[in-house]
Amino acid sequence: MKKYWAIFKLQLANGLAYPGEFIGRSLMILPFMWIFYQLWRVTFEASASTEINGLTLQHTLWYLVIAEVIELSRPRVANTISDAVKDGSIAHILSKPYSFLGYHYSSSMADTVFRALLNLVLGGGMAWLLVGPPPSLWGFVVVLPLLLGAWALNYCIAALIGLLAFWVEDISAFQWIYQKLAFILGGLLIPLNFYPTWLRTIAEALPFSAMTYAPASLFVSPTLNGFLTAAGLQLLWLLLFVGGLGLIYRRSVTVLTVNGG
Amino acid sequence: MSHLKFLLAVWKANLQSAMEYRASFLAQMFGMIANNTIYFLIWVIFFDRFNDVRGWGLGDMYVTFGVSASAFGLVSILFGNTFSLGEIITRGRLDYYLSLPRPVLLHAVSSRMISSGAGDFVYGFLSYAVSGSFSWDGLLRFGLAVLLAAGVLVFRAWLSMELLWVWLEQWSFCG
Repeated sequence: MKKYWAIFKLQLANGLAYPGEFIGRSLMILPFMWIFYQLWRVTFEASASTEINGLTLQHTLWYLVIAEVIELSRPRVANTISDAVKDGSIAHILSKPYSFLGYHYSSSMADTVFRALLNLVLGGGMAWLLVGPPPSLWGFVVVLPLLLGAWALNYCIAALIGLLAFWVEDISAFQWIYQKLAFILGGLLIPLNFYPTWLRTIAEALPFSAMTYAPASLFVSPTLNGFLTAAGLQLLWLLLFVGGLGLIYRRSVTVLTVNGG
Repeated sequence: MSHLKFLLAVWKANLQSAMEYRASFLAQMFGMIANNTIYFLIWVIFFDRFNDVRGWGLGDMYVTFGVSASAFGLVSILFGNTFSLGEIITRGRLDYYLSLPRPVLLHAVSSRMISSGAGDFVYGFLSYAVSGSFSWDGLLRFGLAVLLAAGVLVFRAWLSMELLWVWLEQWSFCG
């Protein structure tokens, strides 16, 4: 465990050494939040109501802050793993005394934590200016463990897509489809509260909602029952994906042929 | 005129290069069409719930999304390196273009074609076709809007962002 903590710290220090790039990328959340504010302000005005399906404008915007923090900061390891497979550098990491998947998890989580903090400060600051403070301070307590679960789930799926490079030349199509499914079924751009009941039922039964909707909605309306349900759901999906990832990884390594000396 | 001839030659070479892997090109194109179709479901869900927002409906969204998809696709096809110019500069790969007797920026951005851009370009027109407001003179206006959006919004705006990224990288490196 100590070695993964060391990898995490090393990558974090690397990120802190080049803050410009991280800040530059995090600035993207500002126009996003501004556009979301305009869209939902007009939508609430048009519906002549201060509350739609249990959400006010303040709830909606803070929901979107957390949803965007999760999406913009999530570990993006699919391309890293795919490149390592394609250019053969996977062999370099395999010869080291640590797990290939553990290495990428620690390394990508350092980037994720750093990006998340910046996105939360910038996106949250903007939401605060536009609609006021977050609805409940308990939301911060509830959302922290759920964020870790959401990113761990995200990592497993991204790593699975990256490992597909053992069998297919280009993984872009899988990434696109995963991203769009996460957008729609996770409730990234529109909270699931506004979905038709049949679609919401389907979305809530899939892992995407445990990654985005559950943490974001509990941030604005924290409840102990809701937290336990969301955490249980995340744990269930994590067990399933970690098992699947382990199986696929072992199968991938058996088909790996390393040449050279 | 010589710039136009040069561009045509570069685009022809890019197309030949993409067509070398025809199956991959088609997979990227149809993959992007499917990707945009799934993404647009967001607006179908939104307008299913809110019907009309200040006179703005799903049909308008089809047209708007269509213009931006086709514009993005057009820039991806003709000037694919627009989206990675920052990376080209920071990794020192601009040196290759600097050593050649052609306009550097034009050569750098046009020397790559993104195959999936063809999917974006086609999707935009399909989106307009199903918007419910299709007409032949409307199609001309749609084409003009695509050209304007490609030139002004995507090409210029993205280039500015890429250059800002280079500046931030430099600042980060010096700081």
